[in-house]
Amino acid sequence: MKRLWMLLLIPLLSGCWDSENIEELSLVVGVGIDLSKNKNEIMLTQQILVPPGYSLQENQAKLKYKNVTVSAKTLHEAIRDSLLLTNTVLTNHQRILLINEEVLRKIPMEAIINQSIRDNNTRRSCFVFLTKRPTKDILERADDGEIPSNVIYELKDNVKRTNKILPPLTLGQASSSLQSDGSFAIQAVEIKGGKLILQGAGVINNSKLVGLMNNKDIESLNWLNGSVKGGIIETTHHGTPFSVEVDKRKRRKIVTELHGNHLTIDISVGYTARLSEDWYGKENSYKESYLKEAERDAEDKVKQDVEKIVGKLQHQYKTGVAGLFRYVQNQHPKFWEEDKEKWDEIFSDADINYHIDLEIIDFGSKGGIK
Amino acid sequence: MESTFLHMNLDQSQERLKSILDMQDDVVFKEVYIPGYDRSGLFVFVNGTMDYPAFNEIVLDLSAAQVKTGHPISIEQLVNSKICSVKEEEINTYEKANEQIFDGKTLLFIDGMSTGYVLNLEREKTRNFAEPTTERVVRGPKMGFIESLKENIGLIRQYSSHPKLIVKQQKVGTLEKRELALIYYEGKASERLIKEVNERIDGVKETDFQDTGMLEELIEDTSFSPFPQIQNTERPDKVLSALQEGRVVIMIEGSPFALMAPTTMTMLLQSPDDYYERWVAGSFLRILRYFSLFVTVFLSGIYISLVSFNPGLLPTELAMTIAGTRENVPFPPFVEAIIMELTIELLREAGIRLPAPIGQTVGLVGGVIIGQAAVQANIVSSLMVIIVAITTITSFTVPQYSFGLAFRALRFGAMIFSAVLGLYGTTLFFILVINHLSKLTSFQEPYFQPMDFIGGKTWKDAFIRLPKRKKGGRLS
Amino acid sequence: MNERDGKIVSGELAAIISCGMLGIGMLTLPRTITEKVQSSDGWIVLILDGLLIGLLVCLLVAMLKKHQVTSYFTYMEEAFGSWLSKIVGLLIVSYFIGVASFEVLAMSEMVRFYLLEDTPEEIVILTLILASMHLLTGRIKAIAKVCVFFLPLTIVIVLFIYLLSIRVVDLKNIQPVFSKGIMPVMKGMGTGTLSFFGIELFIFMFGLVKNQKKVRRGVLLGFFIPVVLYVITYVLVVATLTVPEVKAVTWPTISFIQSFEVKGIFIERLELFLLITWILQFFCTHAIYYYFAAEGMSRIFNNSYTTNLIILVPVMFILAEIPKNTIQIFKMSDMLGYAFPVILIGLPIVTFVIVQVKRSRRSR
Repeated sequence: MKRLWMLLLIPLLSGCWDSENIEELSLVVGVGIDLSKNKNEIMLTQQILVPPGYSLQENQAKLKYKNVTVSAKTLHEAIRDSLLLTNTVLTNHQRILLINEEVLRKIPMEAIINQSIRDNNTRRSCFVFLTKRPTKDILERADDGEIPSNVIYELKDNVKRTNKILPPLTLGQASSSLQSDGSFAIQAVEIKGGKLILQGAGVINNSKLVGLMNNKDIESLNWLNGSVKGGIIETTHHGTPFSVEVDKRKRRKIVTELHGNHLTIDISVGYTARLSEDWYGKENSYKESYLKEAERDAEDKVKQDVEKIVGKLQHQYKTGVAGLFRYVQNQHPKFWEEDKEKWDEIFSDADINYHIDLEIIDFGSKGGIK
Repeated sequence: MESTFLHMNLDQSQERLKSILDMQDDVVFKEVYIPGYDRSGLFVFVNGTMDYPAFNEIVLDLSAAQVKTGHPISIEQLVNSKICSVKEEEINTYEKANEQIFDGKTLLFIDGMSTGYVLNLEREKTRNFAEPTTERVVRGPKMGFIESLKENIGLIRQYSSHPKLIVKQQKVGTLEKRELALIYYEGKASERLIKEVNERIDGVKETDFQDTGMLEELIEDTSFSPFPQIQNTERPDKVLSALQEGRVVIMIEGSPFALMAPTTMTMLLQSPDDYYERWVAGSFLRILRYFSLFVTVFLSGIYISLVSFNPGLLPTELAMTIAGTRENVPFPPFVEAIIMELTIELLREAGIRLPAPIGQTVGLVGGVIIGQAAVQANIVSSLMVIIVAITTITSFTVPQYSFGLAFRALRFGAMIFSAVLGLYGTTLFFILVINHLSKLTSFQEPYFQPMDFIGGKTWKDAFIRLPKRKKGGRLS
Repeated sequence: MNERDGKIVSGELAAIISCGMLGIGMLTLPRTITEKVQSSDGWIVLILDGLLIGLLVCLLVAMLKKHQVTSYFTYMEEAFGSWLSKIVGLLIVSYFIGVASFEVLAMSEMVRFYLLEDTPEEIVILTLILASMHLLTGRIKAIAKVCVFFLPLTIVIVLFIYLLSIRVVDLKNIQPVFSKGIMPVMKGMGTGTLSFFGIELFIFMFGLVKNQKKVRRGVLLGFFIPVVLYVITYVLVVATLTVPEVKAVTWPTISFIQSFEVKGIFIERLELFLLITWILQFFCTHAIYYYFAAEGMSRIFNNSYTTNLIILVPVMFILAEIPKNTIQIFKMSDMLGYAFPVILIGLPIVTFVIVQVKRSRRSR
C-alpha cells in the first residue's frame, strides 16, 4: 500500500511539462486574415489582450490590447511566426475571426478555417465575419479604449432587435456548412464614421465568395430564412410611413414539390407584430379593419422584399444560401441523393412562393382615435 | 510476588504497612478508638483522594458505638453495619492493601482481626457538566461528557433506561489501570461487531491510555489513512443515537470523548442539529457540507491547473482578470498557493495553541493583515487570497474536527498533483481519494458506501434529511 | 453488507456494467457509426442494436442461470476440459488486457490533445495504470463502489451539459429518417454492436452477485443506461455538427461541446466537465478490464491475484505504447472489435451447448 503511493510520486520529481502561467501567455481574442503584399502569402493579425496590471489605488483597470501582424504561407506558420514577436499564443479565447474579401476570392474558405477547426484550442463557437477593408484596420479601430474584437462580439447580440444583421455564424457552423452544401451568407463588418458597424454580407458558394449583399438584402434574406427574431418592417399606408415591430414567429412551414427536375418551394410563415409607429393622422387602431389593412401593407412589403432577394439569389449568385436544401433533402431524399451536385442549378430554376401572415396583436400604449 | 497475610495485631500491621509505603509521603494513617469494644482501628488512605465529610461520619459512628447488653453483636458485625454503605471488599494480604490504597480507596484495619476493609470514600475530582466545546449545536442538548467514566455512564443510563443497554467494564493498562467501558444495545449491535471490538481491545489491553484518541489509533482498521475510521464525540445525544443504530460505544476513564464504531463517511458529515432543525434546513446544510468538502480539497488544485495549465477553459473575462492580478507576482500559482495555504494553516494552529483571547487576535491579524500585505507586496495575487479564504472557511464546516483535519491535509496533495499534471492530475487525485475511500473499512464495515447515495433505503438520510414521519417515526 | 464476502448487489452490478461500457465509445461513437451508415440514421441503429443485445443478454442470463454458473472459468473447464479451457481462458484474458491498454491509451490520447500537450504520454499512461492497481487491491467490492460513485456523477454532468446545448442543436440535421432506405441501417448494425463494448463483462460477473434473482434486472439496467446516453449523444452531436462534419472530426462529442458557450455561469466552457468525467470513465473501464484480466490469470495459472496485478502493469504499459499514431489507435480498436462479438455471443453459446450435452449424458 505504502509503496504504491511512493511510486505515484516519482513523476513529481521530474517536474511539470505543461505548466505555463496565464500571465505569460498571449490571450488572442480576435484574428484577422488578409492577403499579404508578398505573393502567395497571407497576412495574419492577432489581437492580443494585455492584462491590465493590478494596483490597489486604481479600482477600474481598463483592458488593453495589442495587435500582432505576420505574413506567411499558411496560417499555422503565421501563428508560429508570431511567437517571434510575442508570448506563446493561446487561441482558446478567440472570439472572432475576420476574413478579408480578397482572401475569400482567392483562397477557398475551407482552407482558411482549416487550421482553426483542426486545432484543439480554437473553439468552434468563435464567430466568423467578413470585411471589406483589411482586417488589420478593423482590428485597430479602437473606441474609448474598447477592444475591437469585443465590440464586434457584442454587436452580434443585437440580432434580437434588428433584422439587418445575419444570425451569427460560428466557426463550427461554417465548417459544417462547408462540408454539406458549401453555400451560406456571412455577415460583414465595416467602419463607418470611425466606428465599427455590422454592415453588408458576403455570399459564399463552394468555399468561394460569389457576391456581396447590402443591409436591405440581409433583411430580406432573414425573412426568407425565417431567422427574423425582431426588428422593424417599415412601409407606407395612406401615403404616410408607418412601422411594425416583429414580435414572435408563430409558424414556418416549407413544402417542396417535385415535378421531374423542377422544384417548387412553398414557404409560409406567420408572425405576430406590434404597430410601433404610425405617421398617419387619421389612425384608428381600435378598429380591427384599420389594423388588418396595416397588416396587409406590411405583408406586401415583406413579400416584395423576399421576391427581390429570391431573384437575386437565383439569378445573380445562383446559389441556395437560404438553407432550403435541407427541406429538399428531408422531403425528397432520393432526389437529393441523385442530384446533390446540381443543387445550385435546380435552385436557380425553382419556383419559390413566399407567403407571410402578419398579425398585429398590439399597438403600444397609444392607439389614436380620430 | 509472594503474598504476605495481614497481622492480627494492629501495631504490627501499621509497622509493616509503613515499611511498605516508606517512600510515599502522601499516605495518611489515622487511628480511631472504638470505646464500646475497647479496640483500635486504623484508617489508611492517600491524602487528597478522601471525601472528608463521609470519613468523619464513619469515624463518629464508630467512636459512638456502644455494646448493647441485650443482644450483643461482635466487632465484625458492628464495623460491617457502620461501613456497609461504602465497603467494597475485604482483603487479607499486604499486596492487595498496597494496590487498593493507590486506587484511591481507604483501608480500615481493626485490632485483632486478620482482614482489612476496603472503603470507597473516594471523592472524584471532576468538573461540572458543560456544553461540549468541540461540537456545538445551535439547537439541541447542551450537555457534554466529562472526564469521569462513572458520571458519563450515569448520564447515558439516565437518558436510556432500557435493560438491554449493556455496559461492560474492564481495566486496561499496565502502569495506570483505567476503567474502559464498552456500551451497546443487546440485539441491535451485531454479534460479529461485538466480537470484533472485544478482540481488538484485548489486543491492546496492556497499553496505558490517557485519552480515547490513543485507543482509537490502536484499534482502527488501518493506520495508513488520513481519515478517522472511528467517530468520537463529547455529546451524549450522539452516543445514544449511535447505540440505537446498533453501533458500539467505547469510553475510557478520564476522557470526555466517547468512541463510536463502526463509522461511515456520511456519519462524520452529519451533525445532530440536522435532526433537531427543520428538515429543509437540515438537508440544505448537509448538502452544503458535501459541497464544502469538495471545495476544501480541490479548489486550490483546480485554480492551479486552470491558471498554469489550461487557461483556455476559463471564461475569457475571468482569464483576463486572473492574468491581471497575477501580472507582478513572481511565483508560479503552485508556489503562490502553497505559501498562502501554509500561512493559513500556521495561523490556525497558532490560534488553537494560544489562550483564547489572543488566539482570536492572531487569526484576525494574520488573516487580514498578512493577506492584504502579501497582495500589496505582490507576493501573491488577490484571487489566491480569496481562494485560500474560501477553502479555509469551508474546511470548518465539517462537524467532526478530526475528519476536517484529514481533508485539510489532502488539499496539499491535490495541489501537488495539479501542479504536475494539471487538470488531469487533479482528476487523478480525485480518483485516488475515492479509491482509497472505497477500500477503507471501519470494523470490517464499508466506510464509504456510495450505494447509500443512490440506491438502498438510506440514501435519503445520507444526502438529504427527509421529514421524520416518512422514516417510520424513528430517528436514525 | 459484510466487506469480506466479495459479493456485489445487483445495483452495483449495473453500475459496473455501465462504467465498463462508457469508455471511448461515447466520444467517438457518432463518427464511427455515421461512417458506416452514411446518413443520420445512426440513432436508429443504436436503438435497434440495443434492443437486440438486450434480448441476447436476457437469453444469456437465462442460460447461465440454468446451469447455475458460479464462476465462468470453472464453467468453461466443465465444457472444454482442463487444457482447452486454459487456452480459451488465456485468449479471453488477452482480450481483456487488450481492451484495458486500449482504454488507457485512448485516454492518454485525449489528455494529450486537450489537456497536456507536452507531458510525455508514458507518464499519463503509467499514472492511470497505477491508480487502477491501487483500486484493484480492494477487488470487486472497491470497483463496485467506485463505479457506483462515478456513474451518477457522470450521468448528471453529461445530462447537464446536454441540457445547456439545446440552443445549438438543430434537429433538422438528423432528418430525414431512413433517407437511404433500410439497407444502410441494417449494414450499420454490425458496427453498432461494437459500441456496446463492455456488456460481455456480465458473463464473468455472474457468480459474484449476491441475489441471483436480480441479476437480469441489474444487467439490463446497466446496459440501458449507456444505450440511452449513446442515443442522446448521437442525436445531439449529429444534429449540431451535421453528417459530413461528424465524419470529419476526430472527437465529435468534444467538438460538439466546444461549439457552444454558456454565458452567465461561472464556467462557460463545458468541455472542462466533459473531459474530467471522461477521465473518470476511462479509468473505470480500464480498472474493470484490468481486474478481470488479473482475476482470469489467477484462475488459469493458479497464482496469487496480487502477483498478477503487478505483472500486468508492464504488460499493459508496453501494449499501450505500441500504436504510434491516431490511425493505429483506431485500428487497435477495430481489432478488439472483432473479438467482442465472439466473447459476447459465440463463446457462451458454445459453452452452453457443450455443457448441456455433457450434463444430459451424465444424467442418463
